[in-house]
Amino acid sequence: MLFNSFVFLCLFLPVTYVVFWALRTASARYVWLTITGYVFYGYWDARFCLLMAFSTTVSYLAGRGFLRWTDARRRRLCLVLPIVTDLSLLAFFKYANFAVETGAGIARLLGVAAQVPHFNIVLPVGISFYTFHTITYIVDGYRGVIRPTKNFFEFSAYVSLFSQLVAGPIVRFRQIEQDLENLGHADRTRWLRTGISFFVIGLVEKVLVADTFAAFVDPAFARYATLSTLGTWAAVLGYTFQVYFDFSGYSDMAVGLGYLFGLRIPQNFNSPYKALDPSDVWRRWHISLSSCLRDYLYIPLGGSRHGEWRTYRNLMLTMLLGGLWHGASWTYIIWGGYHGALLALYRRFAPQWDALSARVRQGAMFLLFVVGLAVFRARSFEMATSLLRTMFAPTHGDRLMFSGSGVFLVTLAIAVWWSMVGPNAFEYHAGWRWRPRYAFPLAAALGACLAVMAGAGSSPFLYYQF
Amino acid sequence: MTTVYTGPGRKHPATVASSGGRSRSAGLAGKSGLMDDIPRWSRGVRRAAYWTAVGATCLLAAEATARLDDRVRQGIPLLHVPDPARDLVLRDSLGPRGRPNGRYKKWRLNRFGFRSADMTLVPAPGCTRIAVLGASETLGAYEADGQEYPSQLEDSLRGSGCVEVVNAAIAGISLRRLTHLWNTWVARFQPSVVLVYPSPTLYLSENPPADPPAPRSAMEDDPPWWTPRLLERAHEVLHYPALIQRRRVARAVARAVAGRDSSWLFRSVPADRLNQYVADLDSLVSAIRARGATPVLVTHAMRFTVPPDPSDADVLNSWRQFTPRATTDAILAFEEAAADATRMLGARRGVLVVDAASALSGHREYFGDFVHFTNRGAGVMAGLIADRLRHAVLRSSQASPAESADAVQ
Repeated sequence: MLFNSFVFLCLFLPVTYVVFWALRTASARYVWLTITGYVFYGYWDARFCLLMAFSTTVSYLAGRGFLRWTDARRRRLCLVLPIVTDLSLLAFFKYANFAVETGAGIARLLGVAAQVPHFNIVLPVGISFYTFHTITYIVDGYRGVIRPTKNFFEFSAYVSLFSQLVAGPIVRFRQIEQDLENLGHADRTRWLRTGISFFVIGLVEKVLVADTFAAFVDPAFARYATLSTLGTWAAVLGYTFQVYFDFSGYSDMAVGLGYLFGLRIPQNFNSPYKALDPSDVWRRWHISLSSCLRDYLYIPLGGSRHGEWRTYRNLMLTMLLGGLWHGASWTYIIWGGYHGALLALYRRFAPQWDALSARVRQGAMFLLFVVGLAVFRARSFEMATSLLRTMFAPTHGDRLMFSGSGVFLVTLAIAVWWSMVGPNAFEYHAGWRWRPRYAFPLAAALGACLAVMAGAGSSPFLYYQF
Repeated sequence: MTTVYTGPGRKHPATVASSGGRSRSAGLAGKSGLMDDIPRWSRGVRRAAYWTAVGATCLLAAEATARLDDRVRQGIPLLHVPDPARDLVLRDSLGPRGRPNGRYKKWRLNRFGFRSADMTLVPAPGCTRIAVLGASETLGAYEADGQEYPSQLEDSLRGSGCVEVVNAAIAGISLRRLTHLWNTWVARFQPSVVLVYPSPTLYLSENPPADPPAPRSAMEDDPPWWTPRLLERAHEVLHYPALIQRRRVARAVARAVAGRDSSWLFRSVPADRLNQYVADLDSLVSAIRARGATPVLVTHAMRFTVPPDPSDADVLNSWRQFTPRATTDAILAFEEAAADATRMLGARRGVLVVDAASALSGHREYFGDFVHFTNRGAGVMAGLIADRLRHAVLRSSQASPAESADAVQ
């Protein structure tokens, strides 16, 4: 089920909302959030609900283990066993074919003719996200950062919370623990308007901006080999804004939905195209993922505590795995490696970079990010090299990749202003106080989104594939 | 540098003093403050006015966006009211025909009013032009643009020399009007082969198909520009659950049947309607031959087997909405009888018959509803026709268009 679908907006959300607030106790609300989470997830494919239930149960039991046992051996068992289980499921569903094909490729390079099977595996939507939810819970429980919950439904409500289930943000238990515990006393009206405002802004980002870019960009990438240099830059630039407004829109909707149910979901995007350097980018882009990679991978690897070269190695490893997290493809790994290299280079040449003016740094960082997204968008290594070659070696071809370039340019101008100059949803709501007149632009924006959704249909979010 | 907003404080909403979040809207809601001294009824009126204004803003913005979206995506003028019956069909002194350069959603007609690529009036020398006459099944409904069976037929015949397929279909057109369309318009384009894919159930409507009415002024029944486009969009996204849809269909049929004498219903194949179907088809064959072209008849295919699979009951009942005068049994029986009659007519008149009814009927995956094709169904249909045309018609028509009719016989 998609946030930008009529079945969600007209049926699922109103029913979930009304019943949730009709229930009086926290326990009843946990159960209701769990049920709705599974309905939301099962709407796509009910079979994979079992997978999520299994992963939830294993992680919950690990948490109970941390509460019960104090000896190091048993606690380590409670740490390792569920993490191995979760990662095994993720590896099977997401990376099995990739591993087999990579192995076969290596065998072919070595001159060994290998007949490899192709598993007919359907990737469960959102598995990367809820696996991270459960792993962060287990690790935080092991470290003593959180006190694992004894209430199974509190935990299952956290894992299957529909607002963050399939495409994040990767909310750590500790970030909404307090709100979950107080769910029975939550005030319905306190954040209602803020929630609606966040949700509508997210819907505008997705439906009016990201999907407009998608209408131009997707056909262009479908025939990338025929594009000229200008056409390729236009396509990649369009994708740069499409992916940002798609995911940022989704995240803002998730935050808004959280508010509607008395849960404060943290910020996931902080205008990343305003970033001035590679480190700044990752403090602003998919914040929940980058902070998880930092806390659960980079720092345990040693972070920057063991000298310059170890730091570079840790940065590269973290970003390579971050790339791989996005999908089972070499293009994602290369994209991760590219950003690892940028981070390492920035670490080495920070004084020189920081001496440049802020505008130059922002523009240069944006262009570096755009180049990375050409690889990220490519569906194969061959496509990535073709896109990069066309971008940097003047090539004749389809100069204009679409009809209706005016619409593209207008949307581009709006997107550039909004993402590089204007306020993001959180900045807009900082110090925000509701005024009755605010309802009018929100109603107009909602009406516009509904009209476009009714005409063009509901398109899935890009991050659903991860 | 921007400031990272970390949420409105980490204290739980319930524990935060409410004054910070209280707003003038709360006053509007009559809970505190500014409007305490205003009578309760007045507050109620103001609140209703406020929410009405908000709702109206939402609807107006939606309507404006729908029009802008249509303008950008489909080139529909902002003040136009899209309607397939007007945007795709021109009713002038020649009778109903495809509107030149007509556009409606995915349907795009060329400058002669055909759902085909741009073309010349006369086929290029050495090229075979195939005209396809039919109704909505031929015009295309569920198929993606370019996947309707005439388009796929042209693709299938690419290897058979220069072949051009002209889709001259008009939604809801009966055989009698197809004959008129052929005589007054399509024959001008000199196709050497004419495929006819009739819709038999049009002969089960309340009144039998008649000749086209006199042309109407385009202005007289144009809806006003403010007719909301939102309604059409809402209708498209509204998918009723099966139970409700079943009731809606039952109600629609009951309304159409209410007050009628029991003899009004067709419970079996009405002989007069079948005879008219055959006579009209016969006339069309004669008209096509009179212009020197080769007719090819295609029997009508449907989703159902006879007797129908019980799981198809809902779709079958939905079909009945269009011909409430006939029971579902009569519809299926008429389809079979029309297919038989088409085969017999083909044999009697020496016309090639492509038996789509035998090849496609009963394959649900080929149909988006009762009779309209999916991409796959259109592909199978195109393949079936292409095979028969290649063997029976194209070789002879390319060699000598005048002799092609003899080749079929």
